[in-house]
Amino acid sequence: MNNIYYYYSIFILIQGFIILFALQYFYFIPDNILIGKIFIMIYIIILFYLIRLFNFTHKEGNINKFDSNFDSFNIQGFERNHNKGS
Amino acid sequence: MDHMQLLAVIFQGIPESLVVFAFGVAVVGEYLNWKRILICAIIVPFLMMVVRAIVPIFGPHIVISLIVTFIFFWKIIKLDLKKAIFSSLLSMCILLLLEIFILPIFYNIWNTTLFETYNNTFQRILFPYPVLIIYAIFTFIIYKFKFALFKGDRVNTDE
Repeated sequence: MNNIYYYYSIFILIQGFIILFALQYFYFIPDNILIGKIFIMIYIIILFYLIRLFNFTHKEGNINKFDSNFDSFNIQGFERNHNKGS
Repeated sequence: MDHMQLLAVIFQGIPESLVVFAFGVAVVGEYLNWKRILICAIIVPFLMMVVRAIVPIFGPHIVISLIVTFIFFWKIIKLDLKKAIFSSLLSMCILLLLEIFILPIFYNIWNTTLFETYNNTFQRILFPYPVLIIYAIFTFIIYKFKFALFKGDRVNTDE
């Protein structure tokens, strides 16, 4: 498994574990729903922290790169095909 | 605080650990070393029995069992660190997922709750068996058809 996919999968599994752990309280122990809610909060905090850690947000450089790829492949390709068709 | 009965540890805890460890090894593409898996499957339930008796509220023992499972995957079964982290998380997640969706069906049918079940040894042993059977079939399919998520000794494709 590629390194980056490994970290993504661990990231998803940690989230999964926390949410399942919290769900257990909701399903089985209605008296202790507070603990479940605390774990849902911890889950959300970890989610935000990990999103920052893995840098899912677009950086300026990435957007430019994405745009240039888009221009060079998709738009030109579309125009070429469109002209052929006409 | 949950005082687990010895019969429940033997007839429910050991098979559960056996399936969890077998799944963890199968999913990372390694050969099932039954000797090591059996050692882990016997030690972990007794360890968890002690943890359940010590921890005052129900729940945190799940996190402790995740840590214990990880250490056993890493040190006893001797998986790589990365594989051990992945295996322990995935196997525990699937166990929790199956328990959350299957156990409430039995509680509704028998009109009982988790804590009532915990005081009844027969129900405590019997109820998790459908979960374990589904988990074992799932593990068998993964091992037989080599649906591993990692490159290992048994599976060479890295997909």
